[in-house]
Amino acid sequence: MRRLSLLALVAVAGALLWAADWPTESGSPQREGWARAEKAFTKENVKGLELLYKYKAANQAVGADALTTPMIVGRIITYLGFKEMLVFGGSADNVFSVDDDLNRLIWKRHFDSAGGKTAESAVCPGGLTAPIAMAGSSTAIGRGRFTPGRAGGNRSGEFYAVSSDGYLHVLNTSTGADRMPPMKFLPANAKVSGLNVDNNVVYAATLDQCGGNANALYAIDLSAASATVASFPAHGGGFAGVAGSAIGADGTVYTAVGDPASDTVFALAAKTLEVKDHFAAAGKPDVDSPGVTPVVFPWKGRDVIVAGGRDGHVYLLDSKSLGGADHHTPLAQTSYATNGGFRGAFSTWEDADGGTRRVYASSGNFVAGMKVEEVSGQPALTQVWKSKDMIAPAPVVTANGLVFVLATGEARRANNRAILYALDAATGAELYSSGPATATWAHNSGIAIANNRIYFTTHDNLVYCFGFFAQQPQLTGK
Amino acid sequence: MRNLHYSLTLAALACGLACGADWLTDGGNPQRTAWQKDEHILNPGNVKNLQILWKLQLDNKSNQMHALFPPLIVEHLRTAAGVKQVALVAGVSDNLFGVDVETGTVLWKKHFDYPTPKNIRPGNDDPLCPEGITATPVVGPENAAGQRPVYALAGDGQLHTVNMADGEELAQPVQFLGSYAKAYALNLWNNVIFTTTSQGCHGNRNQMWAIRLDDPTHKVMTAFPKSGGLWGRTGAAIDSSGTAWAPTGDGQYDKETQTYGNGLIGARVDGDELKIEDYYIPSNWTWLEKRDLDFQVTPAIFNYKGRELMTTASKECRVYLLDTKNAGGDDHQTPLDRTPIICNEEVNFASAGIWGAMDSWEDARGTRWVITPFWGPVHSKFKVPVSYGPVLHGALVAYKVEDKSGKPGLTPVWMSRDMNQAETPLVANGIVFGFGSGENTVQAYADIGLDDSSKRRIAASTHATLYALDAETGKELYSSGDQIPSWNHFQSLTVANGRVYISTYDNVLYCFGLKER
Repeated sequence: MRRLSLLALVAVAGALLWAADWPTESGSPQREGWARAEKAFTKENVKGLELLYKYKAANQAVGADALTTPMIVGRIITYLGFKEMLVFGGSADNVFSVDDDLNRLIWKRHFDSAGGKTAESAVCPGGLTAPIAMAGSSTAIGRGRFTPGRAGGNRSGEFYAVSSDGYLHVLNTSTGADRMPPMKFLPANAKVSGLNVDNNVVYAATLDQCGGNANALYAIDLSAASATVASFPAHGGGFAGVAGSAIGADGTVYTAVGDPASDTVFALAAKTLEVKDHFAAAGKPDVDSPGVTPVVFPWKGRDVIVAGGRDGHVYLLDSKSLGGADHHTPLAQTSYATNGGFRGAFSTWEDADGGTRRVYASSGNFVAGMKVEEVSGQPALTQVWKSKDMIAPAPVVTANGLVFVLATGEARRANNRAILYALDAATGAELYSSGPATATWAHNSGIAIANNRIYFTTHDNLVYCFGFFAQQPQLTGK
Repeated sequence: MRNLHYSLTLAALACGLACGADWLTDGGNPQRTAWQKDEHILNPGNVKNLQILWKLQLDNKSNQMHALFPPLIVEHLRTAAGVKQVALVAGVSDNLFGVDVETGTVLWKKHFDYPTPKNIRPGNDDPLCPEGITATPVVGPENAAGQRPVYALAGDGQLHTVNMADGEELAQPVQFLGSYAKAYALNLWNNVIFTTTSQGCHGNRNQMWAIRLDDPTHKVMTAFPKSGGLWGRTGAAIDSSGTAWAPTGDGQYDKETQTYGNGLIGARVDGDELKIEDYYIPSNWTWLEKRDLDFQVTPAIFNYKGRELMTTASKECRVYLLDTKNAGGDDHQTPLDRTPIICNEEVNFASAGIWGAMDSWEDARGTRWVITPFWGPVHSKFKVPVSYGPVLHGALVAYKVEDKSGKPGLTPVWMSRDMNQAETPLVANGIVFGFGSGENTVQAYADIGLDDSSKRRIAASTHATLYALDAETGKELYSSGDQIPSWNHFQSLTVANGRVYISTYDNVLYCFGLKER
């Protein structure tokens, strides 16, 4: 029994008290894909990574979709006690909360979605498609009492889920029950990429015009007396990547829209989604590529945005002026073009030793490691390494000098399984491979990392958890 | 069994009034075994006839969840009105009461007055930090004048020495702790008073405290384990070497920085310092820390086959057996024995697990027993030869201490009936007295998360129930049913001379006994 006011006092003895979160796709509203607090995995020990457990979720796959990328609440005080929760959606309109220390279900929520049904297709399978999200970043601390939203502070005690009928559900973290009546947010049967949450606003992008709905980015303000929905239409284009949007330090929402003619990165105002600025890539896009969601990182007092064009180039954009006066001039761009461009989402972190800003991106069959260097006072991007061939790697996650990659195996899914890799973040050298640990492939599952464990999901409705048994006394009984 | 009862009855008759019993400290002795060795009136044969002999409404005001503390008993106390059997009862609102246990009347009342401390918190609704007396006093040996001093710690942190016969101060109070530090039951050993504090209440440090009664400088000695709180219900238990052992509650373990959270420290007075001499940290302390499963149960210290052992526990709901000479072995993390988890399958920090203090006693055949209380449902995988379950709200589990693989270990023997938040039992003359406090212990709620509010918990609490069980079998011999209308918080029982005492939140002291006696 502790007084929470004492936590700071006790925390001086170490970092364990402060549990890390993985609250959303790519770990933060900026989509950094960086597990900042993670120290358990090192270049020396990661080769000994172990499969700690598998959790089988009672869910039915819908098309290629099964379970979403998990999110992690590192420490939450529920009426059942202190919990670390793994929360993920299931395509059959389910949400699961699992005690990830013990591999034990805490609650399951099913949405009896009232929306109409579209005919399933490979592109538009229907069902719940967006990972569950909550406010915060990967360094958030544990939380006790639930708080309503207020200026400068996010609501707490709630998760956000979009059911297949397009309603936003605000779920009680302890029980999965609705904390407020579900709100109409998106069109029914839309295909939704990663939700984003910032300052009591939930953002969602729809893809592939599923359900006959035009693609748009939506925002719903939960702090308003009556929740209001704003939208930004893609005008026939599509939103790039799996994470939908990235949010800057000032709340600006960055999103990439691709259409047959070009790729454009937009800076949108928080809540209203009014256009503030844009950058249009000059190259001809590969229209078959799903593109990549931008990522935001701080650089000398301002935000820098990394965007990947389907023209194969990676661009660095200045948040103060995305494309310069002509909206076509980035801060920097890679000199080479990757065939088809990158996809999914980026990952970026700052090397603690050297202060080097590194960026990683996944293509259809490899992962690239880049670094940002200062050239004439401006950031420039160079590719440092390229991984070995992997089948459809999901967005990577960096942690403590390592890059974790889930090669989903999706491209040739009939015969493949998902494989977890750990690479040296500086060199790309392979340090670990899960080999045949999984039984099948994965779709739309990224990696989540927090508190000495690594998670991902596969198409057979399994959640895989990797770590070291030696660090899990609750699993070993020792 | 019948022969045993017969023998005990004969022994009681032979002993007569000369073999009276005292209860001078919370837990009954410095070792905190909660074993009343000198009870000869109540026995497994007659305890079924227990009745309320009297109940006494004391002029005390509850604060947060606290009200009264367990009575301390001196059987033959010289008072102005002659020799009496007197109970000393402390109340959280800085009161001491002397009670004539024969009549159930107040002999005297002492109130400690002091300026309102600056660190008081207006509107405090925090059950963890009450304001006032929080430590059960301790009764010292008779002084040269034939008086029995009572050492009591007032809410302002001053240690008072009071005459048990009339409540008058026998010495100038000395400053021992800060105000409202939330101290736990005082212990007395070789003229040194020990206590522990927790939860950083009102800005005080969580540590073990000691003060020599014969030190004219009144130097306060402390041992600081850098943890979340030493909140073992009966404070520190003291072994034969004078080492005071106390659990450290939440916190981390780091040998390099002498950080001993989620473990047990042993500290001894050396000159004018209190030094941590030894410690035990469970190997899974990170798990305890993560889930708020504090190591927080005051140990019971006892002898077993020429060794001095101690038993303790945590909210995780395991019982540990340690050697006081080398707690945890060379790595400080290897107990003599550690039981499987017996409750708290849910891993709840508030309403399940083992809380409070342990009990240990030895039967006539020399078998050493350990009894633990626990809260909440029994673990689905816990196996015990005799069970009076189903257990949903708490129970007592009795273990025998036996040699296992060449070292002492714990073997479960029986589990009691269900008790609503079972608290530390007390063993007397072949009887286990236990009670369910009826306290609402919920600290977090589905709708708003953490909300540890005294008001909320008080409103949801029910009533305490006193039980008497056969100490060897766990069979229920007596239940007070719903005779006690109120509940209590962080309480212990007192048994002496055929009387069983329990107090409740409404500041009523109950005395149970045999009317025919």
